[in-house]
Amino acid sequence: MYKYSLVRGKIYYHELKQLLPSVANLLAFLLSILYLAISASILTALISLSVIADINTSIEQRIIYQLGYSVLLYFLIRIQKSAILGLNYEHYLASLPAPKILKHTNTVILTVVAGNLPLLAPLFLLMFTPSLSIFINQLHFPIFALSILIVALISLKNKTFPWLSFVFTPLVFVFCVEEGSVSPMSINSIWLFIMVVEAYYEPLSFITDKSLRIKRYWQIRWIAIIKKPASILTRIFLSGLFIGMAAYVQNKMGQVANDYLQVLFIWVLSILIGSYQFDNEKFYLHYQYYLNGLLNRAGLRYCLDISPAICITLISCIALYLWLHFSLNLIVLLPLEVLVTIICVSKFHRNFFIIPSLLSGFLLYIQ
Amino acid sequence: MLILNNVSKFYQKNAVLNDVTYHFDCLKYCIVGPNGIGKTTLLMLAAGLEDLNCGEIVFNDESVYLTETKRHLGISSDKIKLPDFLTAQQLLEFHCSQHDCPFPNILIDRLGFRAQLTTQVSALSLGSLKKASLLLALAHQPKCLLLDEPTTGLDHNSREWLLDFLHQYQGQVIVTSHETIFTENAHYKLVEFDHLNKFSETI
Repeated sequence: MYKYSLVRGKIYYHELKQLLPSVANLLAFLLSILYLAISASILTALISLSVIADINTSIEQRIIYQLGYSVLLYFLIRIQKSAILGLNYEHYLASLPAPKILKHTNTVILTVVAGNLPLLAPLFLLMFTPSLSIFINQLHFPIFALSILIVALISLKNKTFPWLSFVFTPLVFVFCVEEGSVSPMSINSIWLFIMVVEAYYEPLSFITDKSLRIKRYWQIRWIAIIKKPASILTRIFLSGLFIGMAAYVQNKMGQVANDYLQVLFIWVLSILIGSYQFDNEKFYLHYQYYLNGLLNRAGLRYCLDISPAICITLISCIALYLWLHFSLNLIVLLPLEVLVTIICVSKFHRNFFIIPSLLSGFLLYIQ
Repeated sequence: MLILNNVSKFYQKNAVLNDVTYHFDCLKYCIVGPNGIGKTTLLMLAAGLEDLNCGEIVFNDESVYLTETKRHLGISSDKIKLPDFLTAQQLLEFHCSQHDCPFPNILIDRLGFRAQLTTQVSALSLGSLKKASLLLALAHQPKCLLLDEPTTGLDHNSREWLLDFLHQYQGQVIVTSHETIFTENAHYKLVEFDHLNKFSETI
């Protein structure tokens, strides 16, 4: 019995080691530049729990914080899904005569390891509830803690992104529910119910990529991204975390970052998003001969392949403008720097960050 | 017709092909030669899938690297890693959309591949993967077919049908194979590719 757990643990460790090289260049850069900010960024998600736990938080703020927390946890576990479930060795694992309960127990343990603090923190906080009456008065938080467990289940079990829970429901709450008309407990209960439904029935799973008729190259790339989303999810996760952390700091300090800080922030974000091109380069190398045989132009394919990074960039630009109140003159630098980073990844591989860094240095100098 | 002129290909300074010249004037060829001599690389270059270091390869007087020329070439090789995250149907639909040709229903039925259409490429068996690769090469009815070990892994019926199909094929067919059904087939001109990177016509 012990040996089965050991095998699962070793598979998890091995798979994580396989995952790391794909983001190693990015991590090496981030660790060398932002080693303090990374640890702080993990804490940002935890700090947001205080806003979620506060019963007086406005509906809009509650939805944004709870959604942000849930999405971050979803991505954190989703990125490690293959490692947690040992998907690359599923047939071998299925052949082992281990009882089901042991298999499930191992999956739960590895999920807890993978989800780490963001998964456990809400549950730990519940243990410090002073009395039963407070527990009942603040029932919205235990329900939120429960929904976090469902998010972990969805990220492991579901094949499709939970659009109902993460897009449709929050939008309805923000735009259709008036402040004070619904209690936080009701909001969280409805949200939890929708998550449970989505976890067990996956109502949007009928839109499977198997039925998609492929006519254009971008559809092929899209399916490839959906099948192996770790790289793009990592970028979305880190970008979201980075912007969220900056928003929190700005909010607490009651100030908008000055131009120097904005240039530095854009520099880090551009490296973060632009390094997505490593994923494209890996795809080109893996399917080299098939892609060379296609009739469309390589240049056009390149433009299509960088579009996910451009999308993240544009969304980040909007967030920087609306949420962090960055200056428009500096925000336009982000797409430019992301493009430079993407081209540098294609040309210089591991030394990709030198030219974007020099560009940012020059901008700092002329500021 | 396919023509190789002073073709050289190096992998990290190791010459796989060195100054190869040959004119494929006949309709059907079978290339034989020891393993690792560069037969597959030759087909990949002939299909314009790999860059040359020196020389040129032309088909009907046009470079094989031109998009228009690629429309007239069809290649099947195990070395070409297909997008394994798609289903076979999606792969074929995309191929037909690229080449503006009808979906190859008849070929699919003849190869007994219909049941595998909805299977993801990564889940196909060796034989089925070979069939998918052959369908991609044949679907747009190219003027030149480049087939690398085309019968490997095929079941008996598919193999018989393929031989008959290739026998009647109107365009040029160049196969690499060690199987006697090709090497001892009078319809194919047998050429040996040797260590000196020379083609010698044995028949």
